Amino acid sequence: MPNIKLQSSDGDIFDVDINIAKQSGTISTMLDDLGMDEEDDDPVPLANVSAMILKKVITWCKHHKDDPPKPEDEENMEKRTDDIDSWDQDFLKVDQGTLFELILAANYLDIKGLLDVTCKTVANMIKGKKAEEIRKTFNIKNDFTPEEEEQIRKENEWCEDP
Amino acid sequence: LDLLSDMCDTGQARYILKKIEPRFQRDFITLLPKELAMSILRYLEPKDLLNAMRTCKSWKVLCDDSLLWKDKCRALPEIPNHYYDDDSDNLDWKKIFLTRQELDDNWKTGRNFVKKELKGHDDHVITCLQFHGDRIISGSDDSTLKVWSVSSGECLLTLTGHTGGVWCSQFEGDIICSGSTDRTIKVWDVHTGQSLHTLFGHSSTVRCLSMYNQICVSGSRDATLRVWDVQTGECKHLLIGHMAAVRCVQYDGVRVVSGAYDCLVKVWDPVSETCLHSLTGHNNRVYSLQFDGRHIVSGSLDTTIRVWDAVTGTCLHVLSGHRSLTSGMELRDNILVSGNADSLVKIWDITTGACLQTLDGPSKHQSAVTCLLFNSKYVMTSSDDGTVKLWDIKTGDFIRDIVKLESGGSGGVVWRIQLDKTRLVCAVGSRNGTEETKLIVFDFSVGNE
Repeated sequence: MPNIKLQSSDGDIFDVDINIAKQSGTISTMLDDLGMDEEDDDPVPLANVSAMILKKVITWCKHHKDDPPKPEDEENMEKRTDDIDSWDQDFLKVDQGTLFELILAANYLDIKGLLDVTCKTVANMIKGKKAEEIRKTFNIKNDFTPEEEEQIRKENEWCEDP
Repeated sequence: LDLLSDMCDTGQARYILKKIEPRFQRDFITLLPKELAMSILRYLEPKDLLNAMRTCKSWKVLCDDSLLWKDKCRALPEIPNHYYDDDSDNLDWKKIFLTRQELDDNWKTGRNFVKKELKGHDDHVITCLQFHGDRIISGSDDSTLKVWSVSSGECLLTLTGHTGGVWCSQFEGDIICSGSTDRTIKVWDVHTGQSLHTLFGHSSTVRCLSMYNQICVSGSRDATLRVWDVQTGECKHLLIGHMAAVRCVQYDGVRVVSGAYDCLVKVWDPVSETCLHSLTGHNNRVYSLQFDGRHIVSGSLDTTIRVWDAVTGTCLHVLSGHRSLTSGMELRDNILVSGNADSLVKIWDITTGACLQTLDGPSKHQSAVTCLLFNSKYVMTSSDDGTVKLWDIKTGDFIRDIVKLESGGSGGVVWRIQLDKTRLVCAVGSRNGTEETKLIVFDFSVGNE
């Protein structure tokens, strides 16, 4: 299997199987459009991804190299979050800073599967929580005045549990 | 650092943890680019979104996004598809969602509603019920029909002229048609209550009517069907072929389908007055019909329901499971709901012939089902036991009794029900004086206090 070299923002070089790297839409397009053929030994520079995150992304891509392609028709898809497989769950047991960087990297590298599963993971951190618990989880400051809070509470009365 | 952490006792370690932890926390929704924050929020349920928007201002802005709620509205019943066309991006989808959700809640829990009782027809039976907009039309075996206003709760008109009990009616545009044991059909103006025409021709009770575009088809105990122009009062066609009383009829503007006590279902071309198909298979009286242009569904005293191809006349499925007479059915797309004298209601898929649900269990009806209605979420059923029940169409679970007459079990009966998106109309009474004959109207609109 031919390999290509990927260079992180902080200069580290990673040798990666080309088929694994091509899970990234961004890298795949670069290779196809810019004529970076397989003989080429120059590393592909990824200016927005640190070595620490790139290493994680490559690990994820290696594990998911045989995944079937995702259906395009997303509009009508049911938005489930309880379908994250156990490998991904373990993989994403990271601090919020890392998860944050992974979302940005998945978006920048255009890896749909990784983006979906990281967004789902954050959604699961919000689900079932009251506003105060959400603030605690993400270290958010409540910047509403008491009047504003009362206003929102009124608007959304039906969701108050009886 | 290892040394430092080893030196800490539990309290100190906890203190350090508390100091350090926020450094790893990220406010994903505020800090990520908007499109990525939205990708996360799209995975939230409506309830979670409402909690999330109470966190802080920047979350509120994103959680208020109308397109996010448009997505949530897709999951709701009864928001027609055409809503999504054209200008739909300018609608306040959050408001639509919340209003619809509250209405749904009112139906489901009965927490907020306005109830009106409209008394009339003395101690007689209400045999037929029509409901559209602000008008209710009740027909009775007291030989009259009454036109009611839902908003005022008043009886506006009493339609008198029949000399025998009224057993069927239709309401279309400004026109009411009624069929009676006096062998006639009367055509009425809904605004003035004036009798426009009396249609003579049947030689026995007119038992069923179906109306389409001002053409009315009647079925009679005289075993014939007649096709009438209600504008002129002229009998256009006579359909002869049944050997016994015609009990049910459906007309879709092209073909007439009839069910009769001769065990047959017939498909007619009214213009040429010919019977296209005589559907044989039932071995007892046919009482109820559904016809959507492609499929015919017939319910019989032989306990079965049959699904037929309207074009070829072949029997596609025999639905068995009920133990008595199927008195009423509703068909929408491939879903059929049937109500039976055995006190059960069944939900079927007519394309496969499978019974999807039986509305059974400890809260089931205690006697014959008299009437039923359904939408994409709920089934509503009325019964001789004096109740109107609400069921979940997907799971078949009982939700609640919308009506439970105190006289239920001792004579109180719910004869007919009709509904629109926000209101339910029930015709109730008894045959033994335990319950006064009346209409009960429930309005579950949002904004009722």
